Amino acid sequence: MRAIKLKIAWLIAGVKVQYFDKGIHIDTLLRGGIQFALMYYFWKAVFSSTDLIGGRDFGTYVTYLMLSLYLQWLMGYPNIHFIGRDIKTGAIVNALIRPMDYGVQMRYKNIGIALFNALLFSPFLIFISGRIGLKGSLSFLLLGTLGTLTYIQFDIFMAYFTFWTENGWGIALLKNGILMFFSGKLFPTDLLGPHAYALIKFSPFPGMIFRPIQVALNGGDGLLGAAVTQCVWAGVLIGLSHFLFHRAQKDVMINGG
Amino acid sequence: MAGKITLLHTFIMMHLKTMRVYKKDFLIGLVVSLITVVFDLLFLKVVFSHVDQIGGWTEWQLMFLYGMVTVNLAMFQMLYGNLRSLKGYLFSGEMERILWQPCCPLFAVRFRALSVAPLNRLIVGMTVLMVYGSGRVNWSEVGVAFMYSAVGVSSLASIMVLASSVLFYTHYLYTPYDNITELLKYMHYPLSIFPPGVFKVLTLGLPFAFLGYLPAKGLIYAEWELSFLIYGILFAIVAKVFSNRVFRKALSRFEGSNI
Repeated sequence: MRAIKLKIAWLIAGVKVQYFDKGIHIDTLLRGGIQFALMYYFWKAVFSSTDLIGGRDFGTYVTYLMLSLYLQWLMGYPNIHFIGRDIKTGAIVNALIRPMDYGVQMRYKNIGIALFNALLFSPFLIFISGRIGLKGSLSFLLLGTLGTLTYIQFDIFMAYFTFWTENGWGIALLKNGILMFFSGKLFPTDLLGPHAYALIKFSPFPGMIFRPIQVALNGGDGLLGAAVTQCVWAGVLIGLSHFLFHRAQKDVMINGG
Repeated sequence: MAGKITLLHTFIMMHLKTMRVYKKDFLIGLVVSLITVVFDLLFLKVVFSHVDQIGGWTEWQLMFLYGMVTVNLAMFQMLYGNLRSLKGYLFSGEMERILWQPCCPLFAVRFRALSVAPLNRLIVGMTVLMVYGSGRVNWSEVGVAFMYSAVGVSSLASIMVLASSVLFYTHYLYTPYDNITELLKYMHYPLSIFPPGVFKVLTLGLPFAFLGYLPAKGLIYAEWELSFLIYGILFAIVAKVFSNRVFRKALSRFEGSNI
């Protein structure tokens, strides 16, 4: 019972962190607007000389961009930067002495942040749901949630590497690169070609953005398989993070007192 | 001027020392920033495997444009990229330390930390320019392209100084810096694909067309519009003076962080 209360407390902390940072809402909204508008014209120019790309028409790409944007809004918290900074300054010790696993603290704080953003930008999702139907919308909600949870866990996993590197710049760049090209953030992952996709589909990344959208566009077909795959990946990443954190903890040195 | 050069030298040496401390992260970042460029190019290759042209630009032309924008953005990052840290300095109390220093605060913020990652991108961008431009563009006009680029980088720097100044008017909470950075990601595409209104904004309002589209188009098609260049030079001069003044005025609102 106490453990659940602590988790809820961290979740609320995440919601509060996001609520009080008003500037970030304007920034997120504008960044998303710019991305959508300019990618819209990019794909429009691409489709001016062809009707179908990867079996999708222009209208499908527009819906893809909208749904991708919504998921990106849930995945914006820079864990690597903040954990890296805490390690550099030594502030990490405050989190480590709490009577709760560090990974759990981070996970629930991130879920709180994602939950706040999901609600804040929900009118946009309601607007898009008209393009994918009820079945598509429900499957998007389920797989989008699992995709976001996988992303959060992957982000925390990557952030743990800052225990060794102490600086987060390179790690953050690596994570962003992976997401940009393998998760389906900017374009459907299967556009990379059948050989590349055959390899990427066995990773946790397409399940973060590409698969939730693909299943939604197909009216919910393949929902069960995608959901099970993503649950497995979320579990694997939690296990890997746990392992990595315990290895990292051995390397933590506290100077002074 | 001599004092500024001495300071710049000190800042660079300090930063090199920091990089030696965070060696692993630096090496990862260096490799990954290279991989990012490769992936960007791969994305364009994937799109061009489905179509022959985008907005009238063929594959090599778009790659050339990509190289041009990468070089100019790397130049901006090297000279002004640390402006993005201003928000962090304001919150951490670092800004107070910067203001104690007997040098121009804007200069101190710009060079408080230096990143060599843009140098990496600069080299890659130049390589892309050479590979895709070789035997296809008129290199004898590269001087004109350089002038366009200089106007683009200088104007962008002034716009970013203005964007950073917004922090002082929003209780350090908001700056459009990252929104502009997001916009810059799309300068790798030919601006002719955007509607006329957006094209005008990106050429005359926020002259980002000078960062790639105009110089690349000039070199590819041997088409230079002198009126654009004159406008760009005037814009860069006015923006520089105006942004410095706005930053100084904005700085007077700094209240400290009680640290």
